[in-house]
Amino acid sequence: MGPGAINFSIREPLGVIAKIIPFNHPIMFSAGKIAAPLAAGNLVIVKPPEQAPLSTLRFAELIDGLLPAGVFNIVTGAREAGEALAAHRDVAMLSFIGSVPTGRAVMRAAADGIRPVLLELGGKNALIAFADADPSAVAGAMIAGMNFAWCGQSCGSTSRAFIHAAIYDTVLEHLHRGCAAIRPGLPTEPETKMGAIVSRSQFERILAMIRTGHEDGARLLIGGGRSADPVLANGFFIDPTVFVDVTPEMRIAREEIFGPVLSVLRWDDEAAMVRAVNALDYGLTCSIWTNDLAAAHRTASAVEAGYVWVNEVGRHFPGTPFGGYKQSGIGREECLEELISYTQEKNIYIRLPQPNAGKVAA
Amino acid sequence: MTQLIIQDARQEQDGNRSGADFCRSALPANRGLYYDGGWHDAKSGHRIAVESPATGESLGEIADGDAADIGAAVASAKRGFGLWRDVHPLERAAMLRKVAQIVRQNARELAAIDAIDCGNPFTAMINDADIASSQLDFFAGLVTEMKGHSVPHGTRCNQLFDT
Repeated sequence: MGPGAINFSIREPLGVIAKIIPFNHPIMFSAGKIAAPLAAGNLVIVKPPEQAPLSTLRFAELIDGLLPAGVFNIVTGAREAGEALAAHRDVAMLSFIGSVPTGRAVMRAAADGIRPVLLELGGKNALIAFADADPSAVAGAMIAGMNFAWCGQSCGSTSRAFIHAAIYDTVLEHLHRGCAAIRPGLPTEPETKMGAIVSRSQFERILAMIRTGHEDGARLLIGGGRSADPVLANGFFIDPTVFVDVTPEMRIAREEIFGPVLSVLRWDDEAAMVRAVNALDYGLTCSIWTNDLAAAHRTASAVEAGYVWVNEVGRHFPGTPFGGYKQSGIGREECLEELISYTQEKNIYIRLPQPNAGKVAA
Repeated sequence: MTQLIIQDARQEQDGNRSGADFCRSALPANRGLYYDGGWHDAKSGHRIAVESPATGESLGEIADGDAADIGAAVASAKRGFGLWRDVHPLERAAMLRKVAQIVRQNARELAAIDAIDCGNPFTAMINDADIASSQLDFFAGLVTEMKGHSVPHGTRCNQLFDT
């Protein structure tokens, strides 16, 4: 250690953490994302989504009295509540999951107080299939990766599929069959595999994006509008929708739709395909399908995304860092780094008394 | 084995109840703001209507918090800081594991609320509640890992900074 002194650092909690939660997985985020900040000794104020706040309130009822007063708090409300929370000078850190524009606003609010942020934002994630991949498995992954269960309302959804020309037509046959078997149903029924869009504004936004797909000249493979099921007439239900022959400049290939809309692009030039994958400001996930070891590694390195699967899609693994490249976010979650991000490091230097100090040298 | 225990706990809690009536029965009674260990109305008295996106049916109202409520919630959190940061790390972990257990035991009920409120399918949302439980358990296990470093030094150094 060197004589006469010891130097070490400790990690301490930051204080009050604002957790602003999105509407797509309310209880998973409200209950699960308080774990890291609380474990590190922080307090949390959760702002649940105004579209779906009720499971967070029930969670508070269930754990009421378990934690000391003030450790876990909930403030419901609309945009004003979120803005006031982000702006409050005694909030030490802002943690937000949601859209890029709101993430930008959260970061601006954090800048005023020189406060750290943890942001997990949107994605327009690519699924890439090489010529050697099994078309049936690729089609299955395209469906699984879309998260049709929650209508594609997921930041990690692989909503751009780049399929090699050699397997393109066969993949589309499998894809059509697979999507035709998925129909929305009442979310309260246990057998339902696909639910409703969270709100009227999201519903209308998705339908507007579907219109741009038609206008830009993409070919509709299946779906394309609200469910015809009369049982669902009073809700916001859209059938699984797939556009094919999509090209990289179309809006449905560039903008996050946050709905059950998959854009399929054909490729045969690998370098051009990778350029198109990386052309957007998003970079959250990427799913690569090939049994060619070199192609898998080459592509995993080349794509600008924070979480890459090879021959897998959608799944999260505890302890592995989940987070975005580019505008898809700052920081990593679901791993040790998430815990560390809710701490600050303090260096402590201790000079030790010298046994011979003060004695006159002989 | 763990899975079996989880299933048994759920059986006791909710049985196999499902469907719209079960979802409605699971909704929280409290619709206010939760801070300082209790429930509070929004200071403005304002409320927001909540509807199911699947049917349009009313699910009641929630408090519409504003800056005054945020101020009260932050103040209550700040008061709790001195106490919470000094709880022994393993005790914090034990409390988080209890929270995880409560979420796991009530997963069907919490999934039912999300199903009727956000529109995601009930069965898939049980998995969401389980993911929340495993995140709570995971970070409970990491409380001893917020470590610093030791730096070999001694009393002499090549550069002295005085900033």
